Amino acid sequence: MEQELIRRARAGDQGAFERMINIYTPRLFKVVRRMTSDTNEAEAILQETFWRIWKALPRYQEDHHFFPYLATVATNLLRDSWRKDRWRLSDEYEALADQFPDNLPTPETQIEAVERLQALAEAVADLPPAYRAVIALRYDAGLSYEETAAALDLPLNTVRTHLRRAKAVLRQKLETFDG
Amino acid sequence: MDRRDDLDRILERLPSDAPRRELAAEISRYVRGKRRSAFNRRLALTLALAVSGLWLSSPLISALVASQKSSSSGLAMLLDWIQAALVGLESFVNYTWNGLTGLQAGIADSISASTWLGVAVLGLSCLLALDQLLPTGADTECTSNGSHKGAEA
Repeated sequence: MEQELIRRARAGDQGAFERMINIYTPRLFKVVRRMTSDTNEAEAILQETFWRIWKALPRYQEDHHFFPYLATVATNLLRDSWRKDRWRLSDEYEALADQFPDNLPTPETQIEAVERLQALAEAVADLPPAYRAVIALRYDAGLSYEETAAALDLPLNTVRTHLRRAKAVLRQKLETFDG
Repeated sequence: MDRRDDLDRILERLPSDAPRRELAAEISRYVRGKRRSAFNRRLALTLALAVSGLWLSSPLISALVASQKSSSSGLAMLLDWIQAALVGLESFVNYTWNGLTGLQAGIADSISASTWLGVAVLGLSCLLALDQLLPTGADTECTSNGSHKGAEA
């Protein structure tokens, strides 16, 4: 159905494109909202993303997955809308993240409490934008490492490093939450 | 299950704000509005270019009209070409080539650079008008390795 909608939208069918907007808005919003704490900014990014996608549709290759494409455009718009120093990681933060081991034994194997989930969501929101973007694309958008690297225009190893460091910070926050 | 797997599992179902119920409809309206304004801008540009092109190239148009009226060029030349085609391909090519270069040289001698600019502007306006008949122009491409260029720039 996705490809059929894309095909019709490419032919200029505005109705088909609006159906695509209905289908993809909740998922894309989740990804963008994870990257920015500002709901208004997230909504503006979504609007502009869909507009750019509409303009780009004639050259979209139908054999590619559509959602990674959407997430890529949204990520780049968000990144462009931010000042570079807001996106760039500080050396101090990277050093701090490296201090946290990422393979500590778990104090409990099942973490089900809503409070803990909420605490972790807040911890993700406190991460630097570059780490948040990797987490959002990997876990909320479900992109592969390769797709995440392409979306962020980063080397694959940098994405892996960002993810490892982000998760190290999150583990530390979870431990603090657990007391 | 170690802590690494645990964290992955939690991250995959991390709570997140849901979008407003009317957000998708607002986005659809936004895209429609942008399409309309883009179309209007291109239409205005096309008209402006067409008018300027006609004004700039009016000497050429006058010259062409005059040439139609004389028996030595224009429609008569076209008839000559058709006749030449019937005579033989080689003579046709030579005749056409000589005719076109002669016509071009004659026009170039009598028409100023601004006229040629007018012709170019008219051509551009025709291209824009044609482009408006097609779906909105693309400015991006999705490459085979999954990366996407252009639209996100």
